Amino acid sequence: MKGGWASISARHLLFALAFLILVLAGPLLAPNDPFEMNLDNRIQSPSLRFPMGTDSLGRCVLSRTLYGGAVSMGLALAATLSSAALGMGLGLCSSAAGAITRAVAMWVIEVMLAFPFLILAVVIAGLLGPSGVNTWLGLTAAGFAWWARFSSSLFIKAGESDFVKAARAMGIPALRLTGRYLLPQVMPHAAVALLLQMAAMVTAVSGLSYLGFGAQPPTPEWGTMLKDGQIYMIDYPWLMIGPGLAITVCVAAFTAVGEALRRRFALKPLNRW
Amino acid sequence: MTITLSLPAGLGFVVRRLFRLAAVLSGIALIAFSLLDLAPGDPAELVLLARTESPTPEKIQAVRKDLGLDAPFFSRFTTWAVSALKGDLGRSFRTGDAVAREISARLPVTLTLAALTMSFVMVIATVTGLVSGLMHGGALDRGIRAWAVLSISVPDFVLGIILIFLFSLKIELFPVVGLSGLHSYALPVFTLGLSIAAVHGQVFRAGVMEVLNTDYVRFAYAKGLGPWAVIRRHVAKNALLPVVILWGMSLGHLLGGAVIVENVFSLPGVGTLLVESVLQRDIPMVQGIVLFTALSFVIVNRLVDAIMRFFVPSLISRSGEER
Amino acid sequence: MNSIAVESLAIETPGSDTRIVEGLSFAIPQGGSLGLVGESGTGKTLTALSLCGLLPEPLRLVCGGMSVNGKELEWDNRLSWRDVRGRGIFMIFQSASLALDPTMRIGAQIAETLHETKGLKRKTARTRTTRLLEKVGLGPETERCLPFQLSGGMRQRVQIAIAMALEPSVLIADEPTTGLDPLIQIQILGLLDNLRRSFGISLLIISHDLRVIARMADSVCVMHKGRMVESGTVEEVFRTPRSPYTKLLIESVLKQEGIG
Repeated sequence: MKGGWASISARHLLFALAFLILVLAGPLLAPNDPFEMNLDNRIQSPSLRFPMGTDSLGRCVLSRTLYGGAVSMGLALAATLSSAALGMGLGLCSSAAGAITRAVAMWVIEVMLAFPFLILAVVIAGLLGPSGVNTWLGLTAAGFAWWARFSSSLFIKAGESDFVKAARAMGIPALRLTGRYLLPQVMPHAAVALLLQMAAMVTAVSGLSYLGFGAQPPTPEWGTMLKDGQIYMIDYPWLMIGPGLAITVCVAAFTAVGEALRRRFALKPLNRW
Repeated sequence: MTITLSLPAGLGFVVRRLFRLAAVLSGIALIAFSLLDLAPGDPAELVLLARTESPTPEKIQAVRKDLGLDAPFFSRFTTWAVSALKGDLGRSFRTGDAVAREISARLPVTLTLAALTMSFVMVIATVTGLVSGLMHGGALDRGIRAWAVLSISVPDFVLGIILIFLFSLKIELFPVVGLSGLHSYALPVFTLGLSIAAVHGQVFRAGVMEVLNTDYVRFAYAKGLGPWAVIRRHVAKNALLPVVILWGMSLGHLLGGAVIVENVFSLPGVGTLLVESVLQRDIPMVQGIVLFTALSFVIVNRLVDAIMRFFVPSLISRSGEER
Repeated sequence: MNSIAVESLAIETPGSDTRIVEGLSFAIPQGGSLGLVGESGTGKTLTALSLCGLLPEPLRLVCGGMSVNGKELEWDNRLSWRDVRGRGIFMIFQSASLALDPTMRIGAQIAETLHETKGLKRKTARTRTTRLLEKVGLGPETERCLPFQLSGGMRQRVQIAIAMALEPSVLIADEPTTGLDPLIQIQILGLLDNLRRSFGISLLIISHDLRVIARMADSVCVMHKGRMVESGTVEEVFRTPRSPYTKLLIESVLKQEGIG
């Protein structure tokens, strides 16, 4: 079982990791300085020097798309990992032995799940003031409850398996029990969820900056670039091809890998918020 | 769902559920209210800035007194919550109008969008999920699944922009932005519904495949029923049960997703109001919208849950066995 | 005339050489009954399902020949099974709680059978349903019930009522009494016996319990690990078993009886 899971998932996770590194290393491939403004070169059509043209301030769209990847993906990765850690901690609490811990954890989960994900993210990130860090905070605050509910049922199920009961009866300390017996049972599910949530977070990061709550100019970010390009959509549609395509490919890659992994583990489709 | 499904043991069951509901509702109110203290800076200053007045110390003092900001957090919260119970969500920092009135003025657009999108999702998800599940492994199923991954992957705002570009600017079939009759909802509904329909379709597909492999479907075939009768009466109905719960859950997705879609298409709904209010730090308005959406989400889901229990009593027994 | 005759039936998994069931041949004359006996996991239920053309994927039926009511069946053609199922061959499942649709009322599950296979009008089907339930000893209030509201014995009766509605030429009963109280076991077997005599149905009864076979069947096939090890009339096989496996089976029953 253990060897099987390692070999099956290794390929998918490696692919996802390679993709992540590629995008995070995107800035190294950029042909031009993404911040360099040149008002003489405003809104140029694609050319050899600017393969995707230039934006309204004369900056290279391709270079900005490549830089923007590092920003969007970095934020999405950070938000996914932090909300997963926080949420799974809470999920563990909600399956814990103490009745009060359990009730409080369930209450927190139920309350937080009542807020639509994007509304909570917009409000928290927006009220704290638009910035990368606040985007991360907003997405973590809005996203952890999903992880808590998701992992809670898994931890409860794992805790009900006979060998965990036996281990508990033998008096193995709770921390060790969690690390040795509970977590390994939850890991395949968590790996699938990480990939799929990563896809959702990339969408959310760009969505927030599209609405004006994300990283602020001149930081290149896919959502912001789309928003800026939308004004010129009628005459210069190519401004939006770069960032639009980048987001879609990125989300599709994580979704496809996540779905492939899900089918390998024969898990049910996940419902996102 | 985190709601524990337990056997209805009469009054005790109802009381426990009501207590739980009350606990959740007060939690929601608490979070919505504390948004005021989340925003950096003095709220009184925000009020003055929203009214484009210069924040002098005297004015700030006056506003603080006026809004009762000097009281401790908990007493401010109870005052706010009690008036919210009466339907009074306070007044906008910006316009001074009642928050509840502004929300209800914007509500029809958001509700129309949500209702139309939900109908779109139900139709598309049911058809694709059923076809995909019945023909699983076939070419059509693979095609539908590729379409699903693509639909889930294209973010709402990207899809919306592409649709505006193609259908409003290039062939001028629909209005670019804003509202002019029901047909201006076509593109927003498609944009918002496509990804939800794809997710629900996949869940339905999994359900269909699971049900196809049950004894009661084999038994129905053994009875000599034709494939259509089996699919209609036994497969579709049972596979839809988990999807119906999703329909309730996706209300949150609809309201949240509406924030982006309403902005892309400049629809004057609650979503655009929320973004405007956040940008201008109109905190009572933000609190009101957040409270309103969360409450509707919880109430709609309780209703779906109750309706399901009423129509499908076997659901209770099944979950009873699980526990 | 034989109601059903099967020549060297086998069940295989694609891509694997080992067959789950192999070389099973039998025939049941009209109104006769055959018992299929063997320990659990030996492929009895799969055999039953394959005789209705309902093997779960990816299993496949391979057969030397099969005839129902003297008519050759195109066993490798999925469509031809449709004409046989129900009125030709019908099967009562081992677990009635899984065989009945959990979200459909009992009355509707019986009535739809009458409506779809006999073309009865809905109203006639309804009244017929009440009569059928009465025949298996269930009151008219059962019609409004959902399966989970009934006991195991009652659900098994519902399956038998559906069999009565269909009046099939061949009825397969897969472990019809397993998991039921001894008293109810006797009642269920009595109902099956009645059904067989009053409609002239041929019965294929599957059980791991030799006593059930002895009570219900004229002849018997003994299966072990998917192969037929012995067959003959119940008299012959139980009195003078030839294969060591059959001897073992009979000894174990005798031992149980001795202790109990």
